[in-house]
Amino acid sequence: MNEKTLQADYWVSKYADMLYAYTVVRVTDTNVAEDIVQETFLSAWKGRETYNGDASEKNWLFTICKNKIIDYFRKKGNSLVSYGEFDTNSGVFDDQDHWTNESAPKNWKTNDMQPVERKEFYSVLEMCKQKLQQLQQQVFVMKYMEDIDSDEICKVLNITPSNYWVLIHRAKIQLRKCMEFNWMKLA
Amino acid sequence: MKQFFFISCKQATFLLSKKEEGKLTWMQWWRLSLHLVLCKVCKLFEIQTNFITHHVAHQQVDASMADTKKQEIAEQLKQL
Repeated sequence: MNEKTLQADYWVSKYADMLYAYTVVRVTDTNVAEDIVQETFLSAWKGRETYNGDASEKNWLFTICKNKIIDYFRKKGNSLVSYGEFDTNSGVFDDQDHWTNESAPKNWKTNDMQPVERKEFYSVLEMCKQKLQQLQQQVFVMKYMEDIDSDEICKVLNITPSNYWVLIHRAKIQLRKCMEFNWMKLA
Repeated sequence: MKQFFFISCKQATFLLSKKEEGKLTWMQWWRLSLHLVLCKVCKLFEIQTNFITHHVAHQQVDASMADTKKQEIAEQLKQL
């Protein structure tokens, strides 16, 4: 076996699962996640001669992977239509725009999460995230998982700022409500 | 006068996201702050959504890639 063969196997065995786990919670679709990881390896492999070693190999791969995720969102975002004025929060606020009784946030017992609770929390969170309308989900992931600011998200997804603020508002309302209903049930 | 000082819960929760990026006008900031002092429910909303967004940033799953896909990638790299 030559060095190249060894390195290819080493890379894949060391980083594939790590990159895949990172990607799948962001893009949801498992096939898309696999493709993104594949593209990440291919780009990194082609560029490995020019890679100057300033960052660790792992960080370098993650940087490439994050860019691939954003590229995916860019392509996808442009093909998704926002529901515009369609109010997905109907029933959340009353005609005075105040909380309706059943939607008003209730107290959570969240002082400190034990490891087991943490696991439950994340699996419920994942389920709730997947229930969001696609564009809301993308905006939410980019903002809170990738830490990109709203101006940049608008550019990438080709949406207006006012559209962005409505999407993020709705995403938070839906997600919080879903968490309260499904996670508190377990607690 | 009431309209001048008070905003609805819908507006308040909307402004919370703008607040995170420092994108409130002075007036919006003031109205939101007043609302959060008076409205315990919106204050809860703020705490709970912060809790979610803080934790989602560190979300980790035990997901692993299919072995067949891994082999496919490794073979592809070797061909390059």
